Amino acid sequence: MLLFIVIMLYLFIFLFDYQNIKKNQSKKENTIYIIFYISSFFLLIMYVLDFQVTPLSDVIRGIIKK
Amino acid sequence: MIKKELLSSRQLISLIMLFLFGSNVVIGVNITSDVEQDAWIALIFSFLFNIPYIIILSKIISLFPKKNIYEICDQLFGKKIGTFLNIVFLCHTLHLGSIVLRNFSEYIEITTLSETPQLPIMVSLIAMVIYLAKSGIKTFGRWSLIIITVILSTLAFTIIFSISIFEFDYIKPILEHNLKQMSNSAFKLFMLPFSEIVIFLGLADSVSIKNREKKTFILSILFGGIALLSIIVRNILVLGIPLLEASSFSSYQAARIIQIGEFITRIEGLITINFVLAGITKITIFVIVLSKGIAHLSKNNDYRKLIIPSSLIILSLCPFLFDNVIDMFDFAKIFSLYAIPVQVILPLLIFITALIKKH
Repeated sequence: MLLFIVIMLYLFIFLFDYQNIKKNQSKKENTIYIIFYISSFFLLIMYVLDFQVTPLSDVIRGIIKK
Repeated sequence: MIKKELLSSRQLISLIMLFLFGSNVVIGVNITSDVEQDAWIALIFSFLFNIPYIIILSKIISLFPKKNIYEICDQLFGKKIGTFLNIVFLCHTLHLGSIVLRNFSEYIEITTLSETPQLPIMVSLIAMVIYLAKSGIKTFGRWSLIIITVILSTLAFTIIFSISIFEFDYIKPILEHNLKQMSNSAFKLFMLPFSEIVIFLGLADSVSIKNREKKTFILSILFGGIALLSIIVRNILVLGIPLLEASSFSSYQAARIIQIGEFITRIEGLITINFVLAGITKITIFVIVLSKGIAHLSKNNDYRKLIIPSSLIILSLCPFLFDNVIDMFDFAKIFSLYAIPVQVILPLLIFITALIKKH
């Protein structure tokens, strides 16, 4: 169900926002735009598929303790 | 070139107040305080840090009119160091934005929608944020004026109707803790929520308050501080310290107890609506600042095009922040250490460098 929500969300948003990628943007701008979309999509898929990732709070705690 | 939208002085005050309320009212302002019933005094003490800090921020804005922190860093430190500092500030904004979104999804899951997974809650919140941020800063400023009125009236409403259940013994003994404990707690309260205002340097190019920066910032921090103080005092007087420490969301717990006669009860729903409205405003500020930063780094002159990708990256980072709600509250305790480089050292560095270069 959550996987379905994520895929539909991205499909909807990407179609809605598609004109931004096409219109008046340089190659560099487009690259950053696409990187943001893809990375956020994969992060959400990782969450939905229940990947075991160390929480960011633990990482920061470790750095502060050092 | 995109026409710049500007915030008026009143809109900036209400935005800063909403920013201060935001998640801090949900997770309870007293969460960072170790001085129990003296938390309200610690909050007053925190103004010893807040006032100089706010003066520094307003000086930075007045020294660089119509420029945001990204442009200021580039101008002061050159391209390489400026870009590095901009990336650090961006990462901090991204992290804080995700924390706030997570605070609200945890809050909603615990108090109202306990069977619903957090993702749909986060998606609904972020959809509102995208709509609000896309509407532009001017519309956002007008929204903040309406929302602050609603929130302040609800706050006044809850305080007035809880007077009958105030237990003044809960606030005693006054000044039980020593100076070291008090100053430590005051510093923690300065770091969370007050020094988070540094994020507003990202919006500094949208501020139109010629020669009134200092007054506007001080007024907003004073009004916000008074409101937070009244929330702390209300929570202590209604719940008492043992119950306050045991409850995850103290303001919500305090509102649950309030009832007027037999006919007005369960006003905590009203509190939830307020929290969500303030939360949406706070996350929108993070999203706008983040997209402005990314637009600056990618030399894009319209930050609005990057609002959706920025919101999505905030959303996708949320699930990886904390293990659970206990971990979230635990992180608030170390937040004061974690946030020092960006929230204290960076503005100080900008201020000192600007002063040296201007003379």
